[in-house]
Amino acid sequence: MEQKEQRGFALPVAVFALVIVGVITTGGFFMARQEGRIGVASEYAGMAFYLSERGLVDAMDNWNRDLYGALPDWGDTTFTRDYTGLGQVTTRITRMTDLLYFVDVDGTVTRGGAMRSGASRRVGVTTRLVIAEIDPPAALTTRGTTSLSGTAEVHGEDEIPGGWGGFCPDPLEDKPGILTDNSSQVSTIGAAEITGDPDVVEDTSIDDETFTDFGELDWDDLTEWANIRLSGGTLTTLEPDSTFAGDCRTGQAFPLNWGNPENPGAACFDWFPIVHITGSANIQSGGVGQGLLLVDGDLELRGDFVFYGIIIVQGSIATQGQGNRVLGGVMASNADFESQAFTGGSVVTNSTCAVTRAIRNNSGLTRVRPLVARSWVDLSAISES
Amino acid sequence: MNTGDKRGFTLVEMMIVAVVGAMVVGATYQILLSSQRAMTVQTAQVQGQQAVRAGLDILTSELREISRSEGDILNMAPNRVEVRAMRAFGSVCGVAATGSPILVQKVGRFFEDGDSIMVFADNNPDLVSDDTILPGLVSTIDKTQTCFGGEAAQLLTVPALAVAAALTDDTVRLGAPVRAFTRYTYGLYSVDGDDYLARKSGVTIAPLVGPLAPNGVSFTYVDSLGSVTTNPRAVSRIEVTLRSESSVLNQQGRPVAGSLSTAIYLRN
Repeated sequence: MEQKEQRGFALPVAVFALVIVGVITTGGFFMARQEGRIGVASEYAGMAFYLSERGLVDAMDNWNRDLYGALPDWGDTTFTRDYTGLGQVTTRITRMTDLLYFVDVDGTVTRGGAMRSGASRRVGVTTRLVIAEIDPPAALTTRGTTSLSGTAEVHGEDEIPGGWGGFCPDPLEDKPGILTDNSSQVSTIGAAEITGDPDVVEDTSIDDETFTDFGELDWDDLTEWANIRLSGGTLTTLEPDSTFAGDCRTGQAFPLNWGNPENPGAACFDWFPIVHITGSANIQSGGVGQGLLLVDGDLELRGDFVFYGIIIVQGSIATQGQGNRVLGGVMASNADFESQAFTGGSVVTNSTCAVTRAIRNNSGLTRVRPLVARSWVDLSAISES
Repeated sequence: MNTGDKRGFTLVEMMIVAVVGAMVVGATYQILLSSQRAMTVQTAQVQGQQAVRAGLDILTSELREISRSEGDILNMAPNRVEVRAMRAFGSVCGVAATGSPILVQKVGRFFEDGDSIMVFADNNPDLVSDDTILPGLVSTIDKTQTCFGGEAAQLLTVPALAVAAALTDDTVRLGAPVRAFTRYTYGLYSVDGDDYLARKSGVTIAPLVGPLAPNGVSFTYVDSLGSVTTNPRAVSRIEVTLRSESSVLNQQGRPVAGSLSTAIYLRN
């Protein structure tokens, strides 16, 4: 029996419906994917922005004053840093003047492979160096009765520390040997000596603030920025060359490392800490240090202590024994007007180089900060493209 | 001749086919319809999301750079904020002892005649306490100048007497940043019956993204302690919420809507 082909239209209709549904589903997937891509692009754009911001902060936190300071006006230097798993930051630092710098950071996201990486953002900030204005006006600035005996010496003639010749750009500046509120209370006995330009100067305006206010900084600022805090008492030794794997070990974890001023090749030669002694201290039996030594109470040097930089004492200062040597400047408030005695073979010598290096090599005393207002700029937003 | 079995469809068969066919077509149509509706809703949702996202990007970019301490927030309301928005940036590379003009090396866009500018005045370079910002209005620009290293520079003349007198080399020093700005109001504006996030300058309203919901733009001004403030100079961050609303209705019969919020911390 021959059977004729009998087809309905259900199959074509079903196929048509499947095609339509397929098209709609594909369209939905396409839109969802587009939306997903836009979301990812937005996320990565945000990532690039914060990468640039991080680059800005890192550039200011790790300010290389020697390198940037040596650039000519309007000269610049560029460096690149990788942030593993996130992106790359190219930083250009332009020196405008001695104190003004422009930091230009371009952050590019590398995370996500070839498909997703590449988002970039460029931001900038105008910064200025803020350098603490601590300039001891004499080799020894103090108040009240001050006597030198034995072979103690105070010299206002500027001296460059041995081996520091290449690190002292500023011209020499002789200062008074002693600046005091009452010159009649300064005396020498025996072979003790005071020299300077002039030897002794009287300034009746010297008061407490002379020893606590330094330009735009005060005593609280300085002590707050201390790298090392000690409670006082007797210090019998220092560790000027505390290193690990060739690096200088610094900070509160190594409170006896006050730098290594007498060995220019040493790892700790550029370590100029702010040391804050919250009480009174006796430093005896040697030790070498540099930086800024702040003492809330009295300070007594008992022999063979060598210090390069600035010593500021809110109480009185006294020396005894042989070998004490301070290059830089000493300021002793002596608020209680105690009798201060420099005995033995102690020597205090003015050194503008030691003072300058103590300030400029401490990140707390030489800080780079954004301008007071309108320092930050989104350079991507004003690009010509 | 074999004539074979030559029967036609019976009425019952035809009715069954018609009913089954109608069911298949009806079901297919329903699927199609619901898919299309879902797609329309989804499209409206996506467009709304894209609109508010783009709007937040614009607002973030504009508002992040303003300075509260320098009074860049001129007016602030729950649905609008008027600010000085930066348009050009450069650094002073030449300044005379007698004041205006100043030579500026731009970054990005050119400065233009009539720009309102802000110039950083260092005064005594050893002091931070005397640093300030000088406002000015550029009258003419010479774009043919050069700066350090032969870089292209613009010579800006800023004639206002008091400002010009202050633009001296012991006040505005080399490296001082210069910014040009424009007053813009960002907020919700009605354009052709729809609500948009728009930028108003003078009487000109430029729609940016939309359409948005009638309450589609809201600003909350927060100070550094986290409290809502009405003092423009105390604003530390601006919290922005954008809400989209479409004429398309969702399955519940409500307009398709979406919203995004962000907190913008002021950098300057």
